[in-house]
Amino acid sequence: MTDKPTETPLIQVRDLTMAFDGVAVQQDLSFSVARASIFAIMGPSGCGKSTLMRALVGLQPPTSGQVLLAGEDLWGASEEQRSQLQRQSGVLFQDGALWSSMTVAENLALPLQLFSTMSPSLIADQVAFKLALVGLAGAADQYPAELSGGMRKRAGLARALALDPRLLFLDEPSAGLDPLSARRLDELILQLRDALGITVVLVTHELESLFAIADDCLYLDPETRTAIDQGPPAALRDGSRHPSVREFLAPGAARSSRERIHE
Amino acid sequence: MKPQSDSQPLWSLQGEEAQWTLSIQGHWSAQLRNAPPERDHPGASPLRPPSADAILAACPDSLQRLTVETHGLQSWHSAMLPALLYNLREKLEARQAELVIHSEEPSLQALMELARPDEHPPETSRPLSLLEQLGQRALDWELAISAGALSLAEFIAGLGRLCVGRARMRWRDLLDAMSESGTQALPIITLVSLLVGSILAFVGALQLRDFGAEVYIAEMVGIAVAREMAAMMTAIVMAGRTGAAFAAHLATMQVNQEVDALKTLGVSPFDFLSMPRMLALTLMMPMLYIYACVISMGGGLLVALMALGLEPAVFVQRILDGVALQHFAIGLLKSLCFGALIGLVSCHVGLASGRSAAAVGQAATRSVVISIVGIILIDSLFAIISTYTGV
Repeated sequence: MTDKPTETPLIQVRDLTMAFDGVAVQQDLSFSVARASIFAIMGPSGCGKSTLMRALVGLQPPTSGQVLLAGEDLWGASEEQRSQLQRQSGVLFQDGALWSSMTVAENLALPLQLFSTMSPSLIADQVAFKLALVGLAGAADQYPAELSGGMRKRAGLARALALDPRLLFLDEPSAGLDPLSARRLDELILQLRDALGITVVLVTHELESLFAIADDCLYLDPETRTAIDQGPPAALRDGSRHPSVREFLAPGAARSSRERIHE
Repeated sequence: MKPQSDSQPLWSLQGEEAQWTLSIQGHWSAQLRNAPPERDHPGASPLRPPSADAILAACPDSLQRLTVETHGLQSWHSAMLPALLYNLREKLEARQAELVIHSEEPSLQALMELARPDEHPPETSRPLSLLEQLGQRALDWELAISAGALSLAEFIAGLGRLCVGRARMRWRDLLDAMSESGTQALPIITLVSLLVGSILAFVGALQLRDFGAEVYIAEMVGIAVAREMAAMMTAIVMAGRTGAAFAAHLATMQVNQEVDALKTLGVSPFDFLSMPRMLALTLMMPMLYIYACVISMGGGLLVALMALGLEPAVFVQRILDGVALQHFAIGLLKSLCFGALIGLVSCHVGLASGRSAAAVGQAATRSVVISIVGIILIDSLFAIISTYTGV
């Protein structure tokens, strides 16, 4: 508990443009993510959230621009440096992306076996603890195919935490979870941030969890193909200059559309 | 039991009989990801905090209460410490002892609270004994064989439905499958046939030369190719190439629930997915056979020309005279059977696949293995029948 959120932001994105076949998905994105904050990327479907995420985690090179992780250029680095940078962040994919030929415990143990000097008994301790954190202590010896969707997601989160990352990327973490599990996941994310000082970047549609956990969020606009606003979710909802952002975050959106239809 | 450096996790254990105290000091903030692999830095002494088992092993069995003191703790920015405490707690609770944590770290306590074992752990199946595994295997085989037989019956019934126009199949799919199992296979069939034909000619030439009977090379290559090799080699190539692709494709559709989506529409996956592929393979295989025959004989001709100096016209004439039509008929019939077999096996195995990435691989492998064994079985059946009937 000694490290304080310090000087350089953990992630800095400068003039990032991502394009497919010459058509820009998002252009000239510049933003930064403070240490130990929970940062949400939001926007309507098809606005390029996932593409941005893939550029941030090192899966897909941007057309131009820079991604700096703790001051180091992710895409300007050599292959080897890049994979080292990538290992400092954990990624939870939408459906967990667990390796299907391994049990849940083996999924968690693999990164530790490959990239740490821990003895097997220490690895077993880590695996047991992280599974218990996500509430899956009893499922250690099951194969991913035997788990429900929510369990797979939680197991994926535990695997993302395996190497004690300082940065956690979550792609739609609460999509497809029941409200209770979703709330528990939100609580877990907050605790991990508070206890371990992890910075969390998440892509989400769920307003409830957005307001519950995000400190800062970025709205990607599909029309102008860039980020049109950034700030804490409540501030954006009440005071964004852009009506589309206010509408996106409007409370009770679901209820009002039902009333609209019934009128 | 104490590491020396200050920047490392320090711990000490003291107590007697049932009451022990574990005091945690120093920096427990080592990030796992930064630990360099040992083989890269042979001299460096990697950080080795204790595992829960190591600590429990240092305590006597009569331990009733382990108290953890964290007064001297300076930092713990990693899951090392909470993982240790969690495992100590669970292991102590399992042996009816308790862990007491005296700590001013609220988030450490909070993490420990979060990490609770499930109240209702899911049932895990018990591993089977050797005898049970044997029995299970036998039952699996029986199931697989009856399912295969059902699949065959379904194929025939499906053909019937197709004839009366009641099968839901897109003709477009049939054309796609025909191109995949026909035209796209031509390059590899050409290569394999050319080589098989010339190998046969080479081997034959060496033997026949001893008897001065080189001219018979044409009949030898012709009969071998028409009756056995063309059909067999084409089938094996197609089992590995197209059969495996079909099985993997259908298995992936199964994994993606595309097959379920068809079923909920009331469309039989068999008619819609398997039928075009089976039909395509059954129709294309005889054509590939004819093509392979021609190319193989061409290979034989090349060798006869170059190694034996035989006139091409003589070679062709001897094949036309010497290779009876019945050899081609048998080869053609065989290739029809092989095509149906590969189609049936690959589609059946693909649709019966499990729902994981590993299952897709298994389906492809199984399809190739069963097809090749089946091809050889059918071929030997043909050999036996034709020997007895004298065809």
